[in-house]
Amino acid sequence: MENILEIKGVQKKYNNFELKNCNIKLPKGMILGLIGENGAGKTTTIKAILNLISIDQGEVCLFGHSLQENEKNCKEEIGVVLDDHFLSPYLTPTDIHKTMEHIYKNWDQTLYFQYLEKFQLPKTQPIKEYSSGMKMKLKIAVALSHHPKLLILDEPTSGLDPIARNEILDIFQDFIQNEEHAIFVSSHITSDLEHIADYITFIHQGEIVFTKTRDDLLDKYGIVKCLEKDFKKIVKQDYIKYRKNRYGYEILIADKKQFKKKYDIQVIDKPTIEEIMVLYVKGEK
Amino acid sequence: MNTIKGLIIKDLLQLKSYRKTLLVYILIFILISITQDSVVGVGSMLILMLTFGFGMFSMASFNYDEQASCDAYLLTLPVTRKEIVKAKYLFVIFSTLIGAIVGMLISFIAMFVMSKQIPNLYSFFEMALGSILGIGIMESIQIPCIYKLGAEKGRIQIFVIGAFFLLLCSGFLFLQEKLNVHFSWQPIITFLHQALPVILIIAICLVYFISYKIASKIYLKKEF
Repeated sequence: MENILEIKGVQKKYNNFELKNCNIKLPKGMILGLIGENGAGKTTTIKAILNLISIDQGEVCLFGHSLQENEKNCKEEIGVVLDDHFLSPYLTPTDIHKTMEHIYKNWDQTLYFQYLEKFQLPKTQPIKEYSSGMKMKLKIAVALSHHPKLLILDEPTSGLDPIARNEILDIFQDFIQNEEHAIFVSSHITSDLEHIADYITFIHQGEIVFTKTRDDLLDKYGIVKCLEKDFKKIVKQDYIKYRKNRYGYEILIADKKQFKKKYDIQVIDKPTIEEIMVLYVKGEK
Repeated sequence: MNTIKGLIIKDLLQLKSYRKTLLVYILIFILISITQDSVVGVGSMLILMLTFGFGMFSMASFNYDEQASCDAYLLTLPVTRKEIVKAKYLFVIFSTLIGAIVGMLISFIAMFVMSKQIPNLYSFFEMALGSILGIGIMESIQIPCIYKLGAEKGRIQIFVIGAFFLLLCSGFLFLQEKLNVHFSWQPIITFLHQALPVILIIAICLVYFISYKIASKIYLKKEF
């Protein structure tokens, strides 16, 4: 499968944080969800992809080309939504159109105004008068209106109510119907990614812990709930992390079937991505 | 070039809420000017203040950009860092030039109305060039400072630089008096009067060019 985005051994060191040897591949037609707690390195990874920061080592390739060598052309093909960054709040959607039609070669005026209509966004109202959900929809409309092949989204659903979140996830599902497209989305709202992502990459303290398919994570992984006497029987290599709580132990395992064959423990829950993430971060080994 | 046009349009559109303030500013200075006794003084003041007003109007775009953390977003678009800096300089330079032209037009009308004579166009041109150079020096110091420190800290920086120049000049005059050295400005003034427009135009281009080079260097290395 052809990769639309490849991050190869990217490293970036700050005084109090380091992104360590980051490797991610995103094939065409797929959605990759980057998860991790606040400060784990999600935004730094996105900034490295977009060349907003200079990386110490490694390379970012978009559409098979090095971003450094072909930045302008690569950026013609991507649509970006950043959580904290956008245009001036005094601009209106019509003003944005007047700007973007000169910036993107493929800017599609008709499509843009169709999105505005679909999302019920007033064309002449300044962005500062929009609600959070409306602002996010506008950012997405701008990101989609030049026919990008890749969407890079940083926390696109944070701060939104469930209805707005649902609408936005539907837009992404529509976008990915074209097999030439792909989405790279970072979020700490893991339930959203459970609905849409094909791959989940988990980053923790600046390091990629794993990249797995969503189905692998949700179908193969399990959470064993047991008492101390049962926990003591489990070999260390057979679990990833465990957590002790007042009712007993929660143990994260990578292969439910194998585990069931080996141990006489029947209570193995299907985990959510959030539970996996929490056990990885808070659990012990 | 199309990209730069887009960026300039963005700056112009985001400052539209500022238009009324600018209009009030122009009106206030017209009113202040026509109450003056000296006809020449009215002309100089109008040109200088309108060049300053338009120049500062364009500089406000940095604040709007900072407020929305706009630069990081712009860099996700098919826009290079050099184009962003170039667009900003073009916007600031054109605004300052328009300010000088508007100032020239208004002061021409004001002086004509006040003196009932057609004023000397050459002196208008000299005054406008002088104003552009003065405001241009301010902008040229301020823009690299803003790129380095941000719009808020950059503004403080300009006051610090202004105070430094003031101290430097006062120090020079103080020393001149204490050491009893008589420095004659006359040869410089005569020379400037003979070749003023050419010198001013070269100085304006040089000031903006050096500032642009410094700002580009800062912005190319900037992380968001």
